[in-house]
Amino acid sequence: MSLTKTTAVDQITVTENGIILYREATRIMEDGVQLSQTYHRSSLTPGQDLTGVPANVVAHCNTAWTAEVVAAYEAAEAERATA
Amino acid sequence: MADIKISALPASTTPLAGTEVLPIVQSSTTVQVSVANLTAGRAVATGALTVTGTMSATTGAAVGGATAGAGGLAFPATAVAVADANTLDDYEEGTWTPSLGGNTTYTTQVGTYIKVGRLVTATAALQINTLGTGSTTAVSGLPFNQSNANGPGNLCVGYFSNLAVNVIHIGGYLGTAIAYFVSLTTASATVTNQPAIFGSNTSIDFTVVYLTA
Repeated sequence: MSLTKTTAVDQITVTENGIILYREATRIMEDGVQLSQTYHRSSLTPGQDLTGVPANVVAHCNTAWTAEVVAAYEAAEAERATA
Repeated sequence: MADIKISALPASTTPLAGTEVLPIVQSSTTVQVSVANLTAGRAVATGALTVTGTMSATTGAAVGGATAGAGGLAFPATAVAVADANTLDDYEEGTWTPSLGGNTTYTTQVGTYIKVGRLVTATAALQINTLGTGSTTAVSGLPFNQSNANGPGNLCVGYFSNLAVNVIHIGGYLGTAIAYFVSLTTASATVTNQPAIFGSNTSIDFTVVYLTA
């Protein structure tokens, strides 16, 4: 009998305004059979610091967060703050 | 025994007990199988199944291609959204990490969420150690985007201590995936600004409730 614990990003969603949501699934396996699974979700806003973010999520951020997307998001935030 | 048409046999007593036997051909040999074992442990493929009476499962049940567990109703890991207003198409629970961004450090930084259909309820507990360059008014990292089409979500503060300012009211609203805190330091009929409320050693517990797209 061998118990293993794995964590993997099983969902990445890129939304219209550049916000990226991702889900990490942590699975406890016994001899290849899943015993339990838990989820941890995170969201990232355009331009946000990516320290500690999984590499495959960072790759999506680097693709989606063009200078235009980041500027548009920051402009929307500035407009919200002054509204 | 003389040949008798099936239609000429006497009617059975229903409901069946399950112990009755039927003849079947298995590997070219005619054998018997009980009614109870006719489908036991075997998936039954059907285009549609309508149950006119009540239905119950002694263990778990599953929909949308999910695998049933020991109990409860299982939904698929990736929801298949159904637009129908009377259809429950998703259930998920998990954790999230509320964050002020920047280089803020925390003593406590935990969050949980439950999503039922499009409705998300997320709780968070933050105990800031050193604020540093983090936000003084906004918490990011919400587990799902809020649907802009359905207006601002609801933010409720359950506990706070060591805020950066004295307040007489504290509440908030939601952006797409960020919780913005608003507060009043003096009596007013309208919340007009967002004074900096988070600082080093601030503790705050809050809940947000909102709809996803």
